[in-house]
Amino acid sequence: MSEVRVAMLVSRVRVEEKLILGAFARRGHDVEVVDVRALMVDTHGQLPGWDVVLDRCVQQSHALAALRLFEDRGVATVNTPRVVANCADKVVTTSLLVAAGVAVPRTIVAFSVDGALAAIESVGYPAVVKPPVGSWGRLLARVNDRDAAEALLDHKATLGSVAHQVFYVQEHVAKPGRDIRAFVAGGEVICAIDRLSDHWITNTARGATTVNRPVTAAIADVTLRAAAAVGGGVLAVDLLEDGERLLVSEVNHTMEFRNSVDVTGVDIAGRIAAHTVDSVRNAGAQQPAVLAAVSA
Amino acid sequence: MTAPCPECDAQVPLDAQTVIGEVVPCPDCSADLEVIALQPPALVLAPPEEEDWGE
Repeated sequence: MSEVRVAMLVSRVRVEEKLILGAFARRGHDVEVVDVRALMVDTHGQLPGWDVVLDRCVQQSHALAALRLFEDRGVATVNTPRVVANCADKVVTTSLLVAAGVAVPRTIVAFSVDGALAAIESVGYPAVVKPPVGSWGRLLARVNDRDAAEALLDHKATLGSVAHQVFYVQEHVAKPGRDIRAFVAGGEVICAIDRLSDHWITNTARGATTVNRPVTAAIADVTLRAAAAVGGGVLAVDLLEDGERLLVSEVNHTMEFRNSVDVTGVDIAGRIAAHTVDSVRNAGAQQPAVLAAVSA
Repeated sequence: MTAPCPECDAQVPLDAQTVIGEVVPCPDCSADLEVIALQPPALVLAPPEEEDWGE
């Protein structure tokens, strides 16, 4: 089969992973599916002879550690651990987007309940409070008044893990019953969808439906600038319409796309597979210092 | 092909495209089940979603 040895790192095999495996197969590439739970990396040992590892883990802490170990040993990764770290934490993502001049909802990060309350009052009601790490619309809160703010923050301080002691507070954007998700692979916006919902949370995991969204110049521009800000790769950039402005709400590094293929007509899995193989070429012959040390 | 649900013992149907690592719902009790073997097919309760899970 192929000269490129591909591994796909998974926590579980969803529809997306099966679509990606099919896309690799159609291109003549064998793929070794690696369950991260069974993975063991001896830092002084040899890795299997993979040229590239495609991360499709749902557990971000696992993905980040594994990708770091692979990349430091000369294996190309999609996405890179730097990109995963940049996307997995909303504080990091937003900081990078703002530094790159990409428009985002007004965001304040606080480190205490009192600070978070002041942040919420500063952005005004309704405000949105998100956990820095998390996905699928879980634990997002729209806070409509001070009573709700005090209750939410008290619950987070009392019941939340340490990760919830960093308070990510954002202005609420009155989006028009939808947000936009734009998909990036290989430095190109390959398609976009609207995610429609009567609920203010428009994740498909929470029941939003999808329709195709033509990729305008404005969508392409903000999407590519957001993707570049986090380091590029295979990404899904979520956009909020604020009047004529497009604000980036988050960037996803292992996006789900099962509800986007039929409506867009784009072979997203195929584009992921193609980018993964291309990344081996782009990785070049860089020999990381740690690998050189192991080989010496 | 079917395998017993570890939660309610119903026979869970698995189609020919099923792969190890896939999560399937039990049609009787709705438990999320992970396929851990295919020959013969075997299922365990899928791990619950954790805080850092996502896309």
